[in-house]
Amino acid sequence: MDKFIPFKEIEHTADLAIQIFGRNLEELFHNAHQGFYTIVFGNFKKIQKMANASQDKCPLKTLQLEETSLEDLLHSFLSELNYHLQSKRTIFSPLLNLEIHQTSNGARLRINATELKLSSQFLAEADITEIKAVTYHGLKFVQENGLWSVTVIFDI
Amino acid sequence: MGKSKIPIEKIDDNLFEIKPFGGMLKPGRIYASDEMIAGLLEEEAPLQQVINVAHLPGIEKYSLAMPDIHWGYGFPIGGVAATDWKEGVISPGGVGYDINCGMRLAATGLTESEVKKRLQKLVEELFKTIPTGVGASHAIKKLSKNELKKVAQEGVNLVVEQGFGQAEDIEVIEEKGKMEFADFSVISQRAIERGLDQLGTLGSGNHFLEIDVVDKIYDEEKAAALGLFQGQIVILIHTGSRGFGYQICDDYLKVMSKAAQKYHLNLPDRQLAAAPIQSQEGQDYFAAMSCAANFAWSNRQVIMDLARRVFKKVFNLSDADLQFRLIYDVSHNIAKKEEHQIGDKKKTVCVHRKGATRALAPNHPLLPEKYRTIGQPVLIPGDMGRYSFVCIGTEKAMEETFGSTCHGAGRLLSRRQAKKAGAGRNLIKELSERGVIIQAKGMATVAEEMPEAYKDVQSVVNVMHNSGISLKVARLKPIGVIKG
Repeated sequence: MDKFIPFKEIEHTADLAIQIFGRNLEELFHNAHQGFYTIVFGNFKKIQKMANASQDKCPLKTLQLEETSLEDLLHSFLSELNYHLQSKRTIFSPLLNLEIHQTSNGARLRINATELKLSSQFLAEADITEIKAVTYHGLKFVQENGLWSVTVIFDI
Repeated sequence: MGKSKIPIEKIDDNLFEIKPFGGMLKPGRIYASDEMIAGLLEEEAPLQQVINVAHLPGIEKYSLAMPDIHWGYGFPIGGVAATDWKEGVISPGGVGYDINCGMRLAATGLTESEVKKRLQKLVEELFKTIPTGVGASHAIKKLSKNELKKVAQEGVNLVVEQGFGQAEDIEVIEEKGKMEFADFSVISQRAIERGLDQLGTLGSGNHFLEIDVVDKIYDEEKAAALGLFQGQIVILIHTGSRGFGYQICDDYLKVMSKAAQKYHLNLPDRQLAAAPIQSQEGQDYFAAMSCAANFAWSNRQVIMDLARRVFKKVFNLSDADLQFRLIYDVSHNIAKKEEHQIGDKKKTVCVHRKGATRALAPNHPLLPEKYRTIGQPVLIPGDMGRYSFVCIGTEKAMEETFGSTCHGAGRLLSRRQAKKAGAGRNLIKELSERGVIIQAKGMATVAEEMPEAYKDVQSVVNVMHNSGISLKVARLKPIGVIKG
């Protein structure tokens, strides 16, 4: 059986793009989270390890987002991660109890996550890719043979 | 012309036209060489964006593309479009996420031979002093909300008052470093938060501060008027409005997306989202964009002055001996209210320049007095291993391109391809062997930004020179670079 790929980088001349997969919407959002931090830090495992080690000392945050479409919901979710990183120097990891609800008006996300403050030393030493924004270009959820996928382009 | 179905006609050696079809309201015009247009016809997406922009309500004359055109969000990078100020629309996609990303050139009285001996030290000190990359501590104290408001509404005046540069710098900044329409009340809390600690920071990606040598003069008279001479050391800065501007663009893309539906605008791409300029949404975006533009001019002002202080320290010179002065600062991502000749009438239009540089002709009333007779300086960066150009605007630019020209080289390799090409190589050593000392926060950036990842900017500049839109004055060769 082929190994399931959570996301893969797509060739893009000026910016960065990833195609994200999920066997359900919750898994796709989990993988989007992983893909985002992989693009930013180059190594998700390192971030995950750091977050796990500090988990007990960090506050647990609840994030609730509601948008008119799945595409807008993913855009908001990734923009939220970027805003917290750029402005508050924090990362959300690990994610717990991620729930997605599709409604007649769009889609809703609810999530609990540990918010980890990155140290000045880590920020000074890490090779971080600055994402200006999550773009809407080509942002479209596709469901084929039970697999969800979406491509996200980040303006850097 | 090849297999592409896009109907394109050659107008002259460096100009091509797409006649209106479908929902296009005006023709598309692309400044390019034969080789460039062949590549664009193969790629198609950037040309499709030229066509899309021609759908914008109120567009005047042409949807224009400069020779460094490449695919962007909504508008192509290298795109220019002017819309009627009363009846037309304004689009954040015509400005980009990095509002007032632009270039600044400052001169010193030093020569290459005087700087070479202490170049390594100079680059190190610049890198230590000017924050680069994500999360770097700010070089100046974090702004209060009130100070950010002043920067956003008053432009460079505040930072000059605080001792960053001289009052005479203001004269040689586009718009004198202040867009009058700026209104801080339309800025989101998130944009404010992202702006508070980012003034005086370079950022990452393709942003840079370079120490350059004037290595070739094409027009002695104009170079002398700008105060440039062969062998002179100059500073070239490329950065913009940082997180403050990115957040404003993101906020208003959402607003404009709803506005496009509200005003029943039939647009071919979501990222072309727009609103009538005179609508509340249009006015609010213009006011918010103006705040980001003012922030960006202030950002480059602070960075330039930090560089001046480093030069003084490293070479132990007084201001009088260093002769440091700003030559010009110009945006290449902005929307402006301007007057242009359309047919036999002068009209007020909103000129969107996305990856395009303003290039005013001699005697234009918006030019600083000292450059009135020669035209507006245009600063076109290349890659960090080859060269950048100083050009000058012309009357032909006013007639054909709403006083606009190209803005840079454009990427040849994706970041991933560049990293692959750089794997196993000591790029810092390679650049050093070419006479360029570089210091960057991350090695990934050095690989992504290596010279071979970019097209040769000379070919872009030559198209505009040969078209008579912007004329070459001087070539600058980098010898020291700092990057995020």
